This record gives sequence, C-alpha cells and structure tokens, in this order.
Amino acid sequence: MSFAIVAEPLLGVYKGHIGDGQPDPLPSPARLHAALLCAAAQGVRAVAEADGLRPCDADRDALRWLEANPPDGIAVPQTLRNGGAATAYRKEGLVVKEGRNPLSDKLIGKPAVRGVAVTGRFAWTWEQSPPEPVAAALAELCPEVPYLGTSESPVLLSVVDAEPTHRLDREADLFTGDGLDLAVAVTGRVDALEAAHRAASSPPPLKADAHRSSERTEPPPVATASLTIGRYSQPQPPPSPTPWASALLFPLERPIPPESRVRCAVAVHRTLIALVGDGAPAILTGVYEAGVPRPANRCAIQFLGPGAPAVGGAAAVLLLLPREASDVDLALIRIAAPRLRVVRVASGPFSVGVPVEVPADRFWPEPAAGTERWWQTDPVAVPDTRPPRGGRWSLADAAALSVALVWRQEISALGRGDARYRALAEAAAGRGVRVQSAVRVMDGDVGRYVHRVHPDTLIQPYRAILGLGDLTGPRTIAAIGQSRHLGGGLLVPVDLPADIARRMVR
Amino acid sequence: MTNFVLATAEPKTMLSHMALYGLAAIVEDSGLDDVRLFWTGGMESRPVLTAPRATPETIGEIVRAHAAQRATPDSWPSRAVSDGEPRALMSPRLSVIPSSEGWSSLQDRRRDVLDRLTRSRALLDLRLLAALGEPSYWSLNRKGERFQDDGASRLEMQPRNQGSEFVGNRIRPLAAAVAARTAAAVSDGLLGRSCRDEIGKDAATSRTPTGFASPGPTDNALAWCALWGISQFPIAQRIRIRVRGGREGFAITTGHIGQGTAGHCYVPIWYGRWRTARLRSIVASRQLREFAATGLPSEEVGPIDPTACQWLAIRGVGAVVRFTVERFGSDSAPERRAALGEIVKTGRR
Repeated sequence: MSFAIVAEPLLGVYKGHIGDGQPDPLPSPARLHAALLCAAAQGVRAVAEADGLRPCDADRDALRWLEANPPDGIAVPQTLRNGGAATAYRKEGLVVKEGRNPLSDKLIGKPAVRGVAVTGRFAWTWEQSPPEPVAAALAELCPEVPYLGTSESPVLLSVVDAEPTHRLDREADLFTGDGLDLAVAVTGRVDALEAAHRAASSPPPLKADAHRSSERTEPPPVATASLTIGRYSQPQPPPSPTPWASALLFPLERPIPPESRVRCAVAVHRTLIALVGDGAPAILTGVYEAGVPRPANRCAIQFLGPGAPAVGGAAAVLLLLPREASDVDLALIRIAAPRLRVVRVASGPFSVGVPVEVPADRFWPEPAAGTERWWQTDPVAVPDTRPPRGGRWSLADAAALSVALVWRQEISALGRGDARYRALAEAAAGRGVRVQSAVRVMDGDVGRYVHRVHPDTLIQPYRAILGLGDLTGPRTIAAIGQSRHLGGGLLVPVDLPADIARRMVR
Repeated sequence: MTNFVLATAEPKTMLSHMALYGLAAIVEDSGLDDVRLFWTGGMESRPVLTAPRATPETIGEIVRAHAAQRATPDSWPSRAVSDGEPRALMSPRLSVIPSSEGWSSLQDRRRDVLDRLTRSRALLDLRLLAALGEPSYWSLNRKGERFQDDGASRLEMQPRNQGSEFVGNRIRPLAAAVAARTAAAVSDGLLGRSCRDEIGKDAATSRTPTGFASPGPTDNALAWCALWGISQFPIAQRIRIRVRGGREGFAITTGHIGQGTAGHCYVPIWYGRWRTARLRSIVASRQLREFAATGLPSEEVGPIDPTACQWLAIRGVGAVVRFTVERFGSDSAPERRAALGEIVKTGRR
C-alpha cells in the first residue's frame, strides 16, 4: 500500500532559495516538512496557546512521523532553470542619511530569487502507508499549505496517488554516484524550527531595538539543525537481455577433460539432432538455408568441470537455449532433451542424467562481498575472425569483438568488414568491457579447441580474464568466441577483490 | 591511530575544509607525528584528522598554545604598520599608502618580521604569510594608479570597510580568544561539542567565518584553524596588466579560479589518508584547477585539459567541491563570501 503527497505548482513555477540565496532546483523533503509545520502552526487546524497558535497534537504526531520516515521516493517533473540574473530593488522601510535628502528611503538592489519552470507535479511517496491518524492528519493538513519556497510559487498540496521517479538510496556515498541530494528532516526538526521561530518572532530588548545611524536588514538565521542529506537516485535500468535465455543442465557421472570438450560437444550435438529427428530446427543444427538471416547465437553446448562454481558442484553438460529462438523450435528441443541418455564418443560412451532448466541470468552464484565479478574463458576461447587489416589488433581486441558479436542485439556498429570489426570492439569497450591478461595457448593440437574452420584460418586459442561492464548481470551464463556453440569460450566467474578490480579498470 | 572528527564540518561549507587543513597544518607544525587526513563515507561525510596521539586533550592544547604564542605582544600579528598606527603590518590588504616613505617603511618592517621568522624556523607562519601575499606596489592601471589589493590572496575575504584588515581584525582577536580558552574548550569547539563565538559575541550576524561560510555564530577555535588553512594555498604574483576583458595583474591564488574578487574557490575530496604535503601538492596542481572549472563558461577559466579528471581519479580524488564567491554590500568595499559548495565528481569508484 503506497502513500503520496503531491504538489501542483499553480503558476508552473517553483521559486525557492538555499544558503545565501542560491536558487533551489526542487523542493526537498525538508521543505515539505517545514511547509506542513507552518500550515499546522498557523492554519485552521492550529490551536490557541498563550497569545499565539501552535500545532494540534495530531499534526505534531504526523510531522514526527515524517521525521522518522523520510519519503522513499520522489517524483520530479521536467524543470527548466531560469538562467538570467535579475536584481530586485526594494524599499526596505529604512532611512539612510546619505544623499541630499537627510531622510531618504533606503532602496536596495538584491539578486532576485530565480525560479524554475515546471511541467507537471512534484510528489513525495512512501511505500508503506502511514498509520491511520497520521494519514488523516496529513490529508487535512496538505490543503492548508499555500506555497512551497517563496510566496511567489503557490502550490496545491494533496494526498493522491503518484509514482516516484527517484528512489531513496540508503547506501549512497555523497561523493560518488548520481542522483538528487536533498535535505531531509530528521527527528528533532519540529523542535528546532519552533525554537527558531520563537527566537525570530520574540520582540528584541528595548536597547537592541533602538535606532542606529547605519541600519541594515538582517534576514533571520537559517535553521539547519536536525537536517540530513538523502540521495534520491533514478532506478537502475533493467539488465539487458541475456544472449541465452536459459540453460538445460544435465548431470554427468564423470567430468570431461578440457581438451576433449569440443569433441564431446559435437557428439552431444549429433545425438540431440538425432533425437529431435527430421526437421531439427536450424537454431540447433546451425545449418541455415541461403538467404535466411542468422541469429547472433544458436544453441550452445558447454561443459562444467567439478571445480566450476556451478549448481551442485558436480560435472555437467549444458545446453544453452538462445533468446532469439522461436517458441516452436524451443519446444522441439525441450521435448527431445530428456531423451538424451548416452552420448557415444570415440573414447567411450558417457551417460547423462535428467536435465533441469536454469534461467540464464540467475545461473552463477552471487559474487562474494567486497569482490567484483570478472570472467575467465573456460577452457579457452578462439577469436571469431582473423585480425582486421590496418592498425594494431591485440588478443584483447579480439576478445572484445567476440563479446560484441555475442551481444549483437545490444552493441551495434556501422561499417563493413574490418572497419566494422574494429568499431564493434571499440563499442564493447565503450560499454565497459575490459580484457585482462589475454594469453595465447600453445598447446599441441589447437584443433581440439575448434570444431570446423576455414582451412586457411589461423587458430589462436587464448585464455583471458574479462569484465563485461554493464552488458549483463553478475550471474549470467554466456560463452564467447568462434567455438562458443560447441564446448569453448564459456565465461566462468572469477571474483576479484574490489580494489584489484578497480586497478584493472584504469 | 586516534581519530579526531570535526563533527560540525560538513563538506558543502568552505569553512569545514579550511578548518581541517589549518588544524592539520598546526598540529603537524607542532611536531605531532604521522598526521593524516581523510573524509568519512556515506551521505554525512565528515573530515577526520588521524594520528597516533590525536587525542582531544593533545590537539586542544596544541591549538591553544599555537594561538597563545601568536597573541603575545612580540609576535608578528601584533606588529603595527607604524608606531601609533594600530593597523597590522602583515595584512595583505591595507588602506592606501600614499607616500614612498610609507612604502619603504612598510617593506623594511615586513622584512624584519620575515627575517626573524626565518631565523626561528617558523615554517608555518612563513607559509601563511607567503600565501596571504602583501600590499602590491607593482600593480598599476593605465593612469598610473596603484592597485594595492592585487597582491593579496583571494581567500583572504575580510571586508575592507571602515579601515578593517585581516590580521588586525581577525587574526589578533581570534588568537586572543582561543588563547583565553582551556585546552578542553578548544578541542570541544573543534569537535563540535560546543560552539562559542567570543569575537562575534555569538550574534546571528557574526562575521567570524570571514567569507568561508555565511554569517553566523562560528566557534572561534574552528575559525582560527580555518584562517590558518590559507597557508596551504600558495599564491603567484603577477605584474602583467591586460585591459581587454578585465585586468590580469592580481595574484593567482591556488584554490581560486576566475578573475578579480568573484570567481570560484575549490577544494578536493579524496579517498584514503593523506598527509598535508600530499594535500598541498594536489591542491596546487594544474589538473585540480582545470577539473574544478568543469561546466563553467570557458571564457572565464580558459582551456580545460580533458585528462585532468583521470589524473585526479588515479591519485584518489573523488570529487571537487566548488564554491561560488558571492559579493554582498557596497561596491567599494564588498563583502565576499563562498556560497554553499557544489560537488563535482570525478567518477572514481
């Protein structure tokens, strides 16, 4: 059950100042609190005390509730700041001796309070509704508030429904991150404001009130007690879709050594196609008719060793189902998958257990506290292309390009051929992809890490540690590189201590 | 390590930064070992001085003794421009000195003070005097009129109305007020446990912050440290005068961008624990100055190095707090004041 106080600026403008008269960009929760207190103490709900008024007990309780419960969210409409510096000349009601006339009015120019133009309404929202008496008191009090900020920005305040655009971030750090840093009233604010009001409105002693030769208007001091800063930040955008939607996880009785994974993956692939039978979808077979657009990723078959931080800790074979596949194709594969029992390879058959389906974006465990999730290619990754001509090209660039090709829906680049490859690698770096310690694997027969390539292509299997930036969440399973569909380039989490990871990002 | 938290010092007020820098300079000058400075995390960030012996008693006594030494009749703040002329000799901005005898007398007396401080190896005093600057005899306009104030630090914001000046109207009374306290009262004021504004009589319009914050009651020990914080911001004197787009003869002040008496002040916020030497090297860096100009109109600040942000982030600077210097009161003797700060983040972490 949510609760919201909404302020509609009647003139489409908000004017307020903070500090030494700097324009206030938007009304803070503390300003709302102060306006409500003012309405409670001087409006129709106030009760008489001595020769003045004071807030009634119900209003006081409501304001105390506000202090204990800062708004969980605020809604900020579009605003445009008035940039010009205007000077406001006012007769201050004082007399100066300067000039010819010994009794001339003091006319002083001061920077005028600049405003912001507002399209829409401000709102302060709470996820939990306040207790009934508090909600009732606030609903009664809101219409009593004539303006927020200066009296030139009248508002209509009411308790109605509203959706926040920014939410309170309780873990924020003042000097990092983005968001609106707003003053928030905390316990004791009512008392501090009442004390300040008493001090400002009590008549001065006769001596202090005497006429002096030089008079100056003194603004009352700003009460800053019992205020804190709240960070209201816009919610994170939803994580981008994963390249593979989910993974079918088949338990294995014995782990498959890294060097025979491609061979075993090919065997699993063949067996699955045979199980699906005639008309096996192209997303599984990888065979497309000429002219049919090819998706970025197909069904991928990957192996997890017992050491991988996987589900259960046992060895497993994974069938990754691509996001772009049609429902019919996926249904065919899901029906065939449980019938996979024995896979025959030259080194001897191995049997697989009953599969379970795991969502791809919740596959790996959460990173440990104080660490950042990076990824290691397991066992090795193979570049998708030969090095493009014209300029430097490192293994790290090749890895970034492989990432960009997997997340082709997220990363786009212009150009053709080599220029496009370079642009893709650069765009991946722009999304925060960082490749560290990429080393080529010099290992007898590199052919065991790829299934089928063009005979002229140089195969360069490599190991690398990479960060995926904001491309995906820390728990997503994915594989990169030329062999990503058949047993290569699986990205296995590596949790680096945060300070080391930060050094690597530089 | 003992942490000494300036609990009332919040990062959007320039006084907080200056008080931290000044306090660190004072305690380090007194010989306290391994003094380091840092800012706490979270939304309620506070500056902290940390050292193995940074107990409230030790620090209170160091600051009290420091003030008491500057309140003695033969200390430099007590020196007058000339006999029978109470204005302070070491003020960087004084009322006009018309005669050349006046200038040579002023110079002789100033040099005498500097020689004595040099002999006694009073490094912090020398650092402060060098940072404050001096009345400039060298800055003239086209008509040959002298701009005496051009040799002064822009951080010295004492209004010059009614003959008031920085050392005589701020340093002297503050030194006396802090020296009159007990060590415990000094540390209480610094820690924010109490707020006594002896020289401003606790008035709501007290000018004790001297431009580093809006008028208001300010603890005198805190203000004393803040004024000594100027010592960490050296100046560079200039003679050249350019008429188009304003004069350029005034001293360039570390921690200040823009021309003349307005412009902006800036200070860094860092992660990790810094010594004052580290602070001085970063504060005086070109990169901090250029990063602090982020988003300001370029004709005001000149070209900006785009790699400055990264340079700072590598050195642990998380943000720069930038204060617009506002002018109040009359045009002839304006009161300058650093407004509430604006946080410019380097994006580190």
